[in-house]
Amino acid sequence: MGSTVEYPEKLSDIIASLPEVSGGFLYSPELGVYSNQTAGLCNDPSLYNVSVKLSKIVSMMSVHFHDTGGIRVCFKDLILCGMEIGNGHWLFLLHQPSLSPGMIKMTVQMALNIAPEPSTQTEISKPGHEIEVESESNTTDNVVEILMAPESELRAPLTKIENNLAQYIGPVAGLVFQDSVEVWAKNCTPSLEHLPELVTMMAKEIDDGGNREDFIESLKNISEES
Amino acid sequence: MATAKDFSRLGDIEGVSRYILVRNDGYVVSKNYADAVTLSSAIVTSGKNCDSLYDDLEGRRYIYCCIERNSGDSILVFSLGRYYLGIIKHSDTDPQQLADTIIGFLKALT
Repeated sequence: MGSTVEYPEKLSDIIASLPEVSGGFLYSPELGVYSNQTAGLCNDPSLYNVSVKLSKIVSMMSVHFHDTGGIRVCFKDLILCGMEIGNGHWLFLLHQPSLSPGMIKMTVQMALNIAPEPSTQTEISKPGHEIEVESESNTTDNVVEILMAPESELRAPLTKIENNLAQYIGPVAGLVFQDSVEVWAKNCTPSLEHLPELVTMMAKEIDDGGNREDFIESLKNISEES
Repeated sequence: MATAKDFSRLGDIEGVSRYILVRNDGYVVSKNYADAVTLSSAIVTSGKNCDSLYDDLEGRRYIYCCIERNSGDSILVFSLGRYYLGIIKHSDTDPQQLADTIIGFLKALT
């Protein structure tokens, strides 16, 4: 492997050799971001934050899995990949999705003269480590079941709230709904008059401000309608 | 409406070795992985850190992240509001194809 002073030059070579790579940067905990070759895409403080966050992810995963390598974060039209290249130094590349991880790895290994890592057998495939299918179930289900029972006056408004929530936050609406109803039921007596508090609680799960307001507006008369 | 039990069908998707659905406070909602509890904090940290890249990368929102392993059984992490989904893929499965399948599955749950 080359010395660390050569890394910026090697990074330039990698970027030049792969047309799909639009830029890259180098980071180490001691030096911070010491080579920013992103052509102005991001400033050093931003890249420092990115480096710290992604290296932390890999570090945490390596506690559980002892064969972690790099990390790739996929955006709509861009992939950010990072890999530790030795002595705590990280190399990050920004590239188009069309470029395969294998090609990147091979190019980096060749440029830095890193020996390919041997493949290891995954520990989760070992016999005796059986799959355990389980969905957690607790009192939340009971609370929701009671409140959603056919004879409950809250069934219709709660169903409407859950359905409206799903329009804004998608597939996890059911889970958010259950969690929120549990908290709501603990904080106050579940009743029609307290439904606005539940709506307010769920609205906080909607990131977009406009959508949040639409959600609240669609349910502003929920107590009176029921 | 999706429930925790609906997510258990993730385990039936070709290419998925294990999955873990975890709330942002670390509570494991659904899983087919025996060590899910010990992995949950890493999944949450991964998801939160990737969410926050939005602030660092000029408003780019991540779709998923992949923590690569030498065994090939890489870990995919998706953010679902205040829940995070971790997928351990089979070594011979293409991560991008699997990610597309997972996204399709999640959309179908809506």
